[in-house]
Amino acid sequence: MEDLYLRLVLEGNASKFSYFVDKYKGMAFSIAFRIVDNREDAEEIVQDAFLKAFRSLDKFRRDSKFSTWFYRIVVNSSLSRARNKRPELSNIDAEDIDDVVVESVESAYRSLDLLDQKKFVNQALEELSIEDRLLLTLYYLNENSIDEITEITDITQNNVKMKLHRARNKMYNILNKNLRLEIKSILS
Amino acid sequence: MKNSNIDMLAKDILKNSYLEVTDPDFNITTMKKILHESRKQYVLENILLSFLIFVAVDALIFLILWLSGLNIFELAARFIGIPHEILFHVKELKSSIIENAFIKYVMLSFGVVMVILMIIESKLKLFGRLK
Repeated sequence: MEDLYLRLVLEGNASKFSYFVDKYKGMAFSIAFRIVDNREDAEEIVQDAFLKAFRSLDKFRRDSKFSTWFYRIVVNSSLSRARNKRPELSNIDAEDIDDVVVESVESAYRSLDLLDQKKFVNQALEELSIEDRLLLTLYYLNENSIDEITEITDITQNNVKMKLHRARNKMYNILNKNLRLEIKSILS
Repeated sequence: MKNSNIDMLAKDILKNSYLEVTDPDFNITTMKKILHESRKQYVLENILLSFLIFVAVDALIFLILWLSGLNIFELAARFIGIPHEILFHVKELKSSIIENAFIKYVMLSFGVVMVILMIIESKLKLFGRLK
């Protein structure tokens, strides 16, 4: 299906590009937002990324998925916008997490309603570095493979694995801390 | 706990981090930009194409005239005298225009370029470039 739309756009039927806009805008926005941390900026970046993708569609080699190629444009545009915007400070514990932490996060998290779950996960992501957020979003939310993440971010495979592992641990530690505080505030 | 279970839980948790574009006109604005870009590309391509065709046709006609023994640069000098002839030698002008190699060259190249452009335009329509 995607190939058909690609062919139509390349043959000059520009209006068919709306298929890609509709399909990828949500995830592209999620990725851009995790990097620039601002809704308006993220929307602008995604629009520009679609335009860039359209302009260079003839250069798109089909050895990777369109989404991988497109998300790479989104990530690069977002990173250049985010550069110098805010300092990268993330000194959260990335040590291996034990079962107790995971289980306590799971039970506390499951006890929350959907809105609160969203609130806590967004809060946790905000406390992470841009790179950590990006890797977690690509791997766990967008379900990209390690190979695809390597292509999107230009980080080596081994580094992606290592950074992803650390980012996941950090997220659990933040969630554990925040959910505990929440439970304490409810109980007190 | 198994690493895969921790991963599954992380996936479950991060599912809630998906964000929607809130601007209701996002698609329209994006597509407007894309269609504008598409038209810009089309016009630019056509200008370039027309220019290339014009240069190629010029070169071809120049070559044909040169092979026929007509040097347009020499004969162009006669063309300069036309305004004078318009005023004083209408009759002479007629034959001058018809026989002038430079005029012939300009009219011929213009005609050929127009025909080629018409053919290209109809081909582009066929391939959907003008949709």
